[in-house]
Amino acid sequence: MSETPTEQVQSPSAAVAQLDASLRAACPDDVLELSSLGDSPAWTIVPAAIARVGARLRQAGYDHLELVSTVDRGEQIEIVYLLDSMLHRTDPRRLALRCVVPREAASLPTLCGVWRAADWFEREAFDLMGVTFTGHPDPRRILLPDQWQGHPLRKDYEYDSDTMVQEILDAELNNDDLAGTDGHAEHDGMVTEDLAVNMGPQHPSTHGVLRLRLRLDGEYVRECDPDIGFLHRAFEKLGELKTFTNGIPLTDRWDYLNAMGNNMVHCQAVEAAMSLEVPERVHWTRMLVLELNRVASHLVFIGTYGLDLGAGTPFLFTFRDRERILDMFELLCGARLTYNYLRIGGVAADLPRNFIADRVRPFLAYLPDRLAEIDQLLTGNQIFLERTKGVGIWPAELCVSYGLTGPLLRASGVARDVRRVYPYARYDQCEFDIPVGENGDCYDRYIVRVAEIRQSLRLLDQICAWFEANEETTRGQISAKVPRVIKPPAGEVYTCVETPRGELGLHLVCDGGENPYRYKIRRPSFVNLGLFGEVARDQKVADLIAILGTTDIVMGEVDG
Amino acid sequence: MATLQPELKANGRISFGSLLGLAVGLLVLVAAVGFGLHVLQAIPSSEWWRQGPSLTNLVRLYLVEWPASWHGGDWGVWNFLRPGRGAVPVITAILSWTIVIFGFMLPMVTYQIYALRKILGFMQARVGPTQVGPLGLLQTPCDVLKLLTKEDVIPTKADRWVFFAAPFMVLVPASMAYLVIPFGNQKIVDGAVRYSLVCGDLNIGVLYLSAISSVAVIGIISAGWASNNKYSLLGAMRSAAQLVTYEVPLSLALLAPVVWAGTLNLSQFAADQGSVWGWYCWPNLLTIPIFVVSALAELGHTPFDLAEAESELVAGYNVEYSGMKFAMFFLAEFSNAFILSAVAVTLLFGGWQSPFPESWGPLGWDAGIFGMFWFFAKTLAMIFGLFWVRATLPRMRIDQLMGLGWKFMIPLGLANLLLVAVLRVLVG
Amino acid sequence: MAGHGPGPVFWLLAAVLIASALGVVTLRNMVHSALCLAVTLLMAGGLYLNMGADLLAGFQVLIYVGAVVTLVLVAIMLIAKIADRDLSQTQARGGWAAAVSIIVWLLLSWVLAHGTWTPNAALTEGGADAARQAKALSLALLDPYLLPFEVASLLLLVALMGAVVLAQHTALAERSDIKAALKEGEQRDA
Repeated sequence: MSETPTEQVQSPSAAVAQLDASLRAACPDDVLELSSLGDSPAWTIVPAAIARVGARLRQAGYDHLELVSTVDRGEQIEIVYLLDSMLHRTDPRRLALRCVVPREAASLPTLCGVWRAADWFEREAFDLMGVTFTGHPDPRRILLPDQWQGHPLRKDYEYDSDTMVQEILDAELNNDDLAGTDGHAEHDGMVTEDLAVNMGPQHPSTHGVLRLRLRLDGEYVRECDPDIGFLHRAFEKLGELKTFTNGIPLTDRWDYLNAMGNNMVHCQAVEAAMSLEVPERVHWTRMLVLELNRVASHLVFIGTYGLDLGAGTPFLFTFRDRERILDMFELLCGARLTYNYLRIGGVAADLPRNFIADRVRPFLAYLPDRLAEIDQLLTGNQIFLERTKGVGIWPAELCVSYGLTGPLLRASGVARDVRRVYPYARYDQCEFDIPVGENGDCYDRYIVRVAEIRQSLRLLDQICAWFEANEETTRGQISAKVPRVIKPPAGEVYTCVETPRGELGLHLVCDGGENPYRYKIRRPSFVNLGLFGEVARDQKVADLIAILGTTDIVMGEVDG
Repeated sequence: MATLQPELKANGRISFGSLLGLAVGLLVLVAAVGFGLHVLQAIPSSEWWRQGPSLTNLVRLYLVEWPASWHGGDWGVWNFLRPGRGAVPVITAILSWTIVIFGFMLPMVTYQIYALRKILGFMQARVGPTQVGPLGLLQTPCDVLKLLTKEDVIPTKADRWVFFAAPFMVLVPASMAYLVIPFGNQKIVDGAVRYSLVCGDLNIGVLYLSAISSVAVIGIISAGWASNNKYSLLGAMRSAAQLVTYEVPLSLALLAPVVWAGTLNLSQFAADQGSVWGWYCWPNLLTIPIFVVSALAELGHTPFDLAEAESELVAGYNVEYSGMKFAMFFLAEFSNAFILSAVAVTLLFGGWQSPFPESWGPLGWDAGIFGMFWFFAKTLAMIFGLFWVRATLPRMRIDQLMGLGWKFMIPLGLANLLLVAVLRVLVG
Repeated sequence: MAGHGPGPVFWLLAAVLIASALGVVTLRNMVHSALCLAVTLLMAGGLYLNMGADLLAGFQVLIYVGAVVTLVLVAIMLIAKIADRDLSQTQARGGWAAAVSIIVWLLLSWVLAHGTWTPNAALTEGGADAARQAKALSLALLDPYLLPFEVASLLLLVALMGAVVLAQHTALAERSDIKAALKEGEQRDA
């Protein structure tokens, strides 16, 4: 079930030049200049031609739209597209496209026809930055209420909170028909009714404040429109207001089940912007906490998924085992959920003495049997298998087109893991497999995560071995030499890490000051949920819960 | 600090009303004690004591023959109301049933809920209720008190009469089933009943149980309807469909031991099964899983508990009920669990018979209170099994559940019936 | 209790039965009317018990109240709530209905009073023992009354098949292979 995917190819500049040449040949008037974004090449494209160029690149094998980021450059607004390739081998693997539009008339064609992932990315760009995308099938705001005025991420954003909030409240409270009106459908001469139903935002199975507007025809879902934004806490705007170090506690709150990973992407981005090398011990410490966090997050998934399907017992067992990990983290940094442990250039504190021997090693010995028992309660159960096998099959092309990453993508057969493709910390020195599913149904999405726990345990074993070998020589080296005030040079960078939910990325634009200029988070749960409106169609209502559970979204990350 | 304490000031005077109430209460207490002592002192010299102090005789002597002798035995135009001898078993049954309901069923269900929470807790690596009372034993009585004192909310456009009646329609059949459960043996000497540990010895016991449990379905549908909530009506319909579907395999599973035993009378079932090797579970081995699965579905327990599932989209039928009405639904569910376990034990596992042979002395006794002990031990073991299943399995989807019922359980039940019938003919 | 003429229990059951039967036909709200039907049928079962026909009483409650009334209620509730149609009983033509009912009642009473009713010896020999009643009843169904028994089961089978066909009607029409076959047939005919 696991595969080791191929590695990246050779000399970058030759490949870039080749691609440049072929692009200019295919679309001569559209390509303006070639620059770079971090390590990837970046082409500036004429805005009106973006769809054409995008289609051309899609044909060339760039099937994954990683990110659509917008930057307010004063007179102009710059839109940055990051493309990547999943199913094809392209060289360079990742590239960026830039478009610059005037501030007052910020409009350019949509890329929804090329990559389905563009749907929600562009809605968010419209919502928060005010860029309109012509031809978008559903140009509504996504995070903020429909009645909101203004676009918060613009640098000149001001608003009159009192009147606007009052308008929004009035609109919501006077709306008797929150789910929409019931519709009618005709079946062979018999008129039947569709029911419009609201699921959420308070609902035990939506895993947070998610509202699904459903149109039901009997037991089948005809339409599903996810309504998000109930937990929007303006992290991207806050990121611009905080200094680089002060922003780290904020990152804990995005995907709160994987706070270490969030810290990691922030610190990694700033370190890349500063070209800072961290000590060896820091790499391994970071890997230790990242993998422990991955295990904890997947344990939560197993427990809550069983609970969604009616099995209450595995939930308590997984939370009992997760307590051990949380106790370890509490020893490490004093917190159980929002750790604020990583720092720019290092970590906040060293591991306590005998941490590996007294805590991590016993846990590695304890978990495999417990995992087998918990797994047996679910995977060994005929009822569970009937509810998950063959339910919610997502073909690989659909997933890639919607920009899915993480276990959701791997369950459909695509063996992509950021730790292999763009290795960070010392993952390239470790051995681990990437579990891959066969059918892309709910069962595969579940079993891939269970297998990932086992792979994380394997990684943790290697990490502990490194610590046992290098404890004396590296003890105390918890940070690189970092200036007291962190001011990365002007520039932009994009880094990503592999979280239990997918690829978490940070597009950081610095202007030489103490705060970031633009702090764009590529949130995997947000992208993963974009698929849901389409795959929920023509599913049974009872299966809807089963499928939503496997997406394993965290609303803190969806809403950002 | 001082300002945080509420000021409690008595005004130093006792009201006249409370004094009067206290006096009246004391008088009533004294009168009741006096009367009780008089009655108690009179008992050993009474006719009742002489004829054998059973409930049947009590009813016959004081509730039937004594009123019948008023006015010289002739009530004139009211003669059609005069109780005849046929009234004795009926009144005895009703009286003993009332005692069972208030003295046994209500505390039993209360502690069954407590047992469920404790057992589920221990199976899930936690402890369940521990705070209220020693070992948390007072938890459920406090929960019941809480439910009693809650505001009884009735949705605005709900159908008031049906809303009020629905919990009764569910609870009454659940209570009526206690009429036929044999808690112990009956001692009949020379044609007169000495004592009987069955409330009503109905000749159609099994049929009676099937019949009244089918009435409960109407209660559930009415509950969903009366809530004026589209989704709770849909949930009620799904529950009703589940109940109606699994009534058939349940009835088939009940019929198989009936075919084997040749009687519908539950107390005769229990009395006929002698030693362990004579228990009816041996020729009915296939009946046991059919019965258990159908019982789980009839009760609405996991894996068939989609009616109570919070993670389902469609609300359940009791979502608009609060306070005592909600408590009645809960009571009915746990009462049904006890009834079905008791029926299984009676039909298949020997009822109040001891599993040990008579020669083993006290372990083999099953008369009177010993019989009751064995009955409860077996029923509680079965209830524990039901709870165990509840802790372990996930939930089935409604269409999978219905498919299982119609396409698998019913043919299996029919085949089982055929098998048992053939066995009966072969064994003679 | 049995065979001593109508006792207090009989009068009580009869009174409730008549009251709820009146409720069935006069109440405006159809759900209330259906619930009164359930009460009526329950009282009929009680009357059977009063006459000593234990088995029949059990069947009456199990089948009529437990299944038939349930079905009626489900149909009424679904139409009223989900389809949002207003279901209420009107008293239109109430006079005619009352007249016809009274004529039928008089007719039935005359037939019952003046007809010769000989009890079937085989069926009544069971007496109060439900098991013997059951045996007598089942033997009667299989020997003298076999034909009506088989006809009734055939009727039920037809009803079941009809229900399946009606429910599948839509699904069948939308199945792609059936659609293709129909289209092919049309093209051939054209």
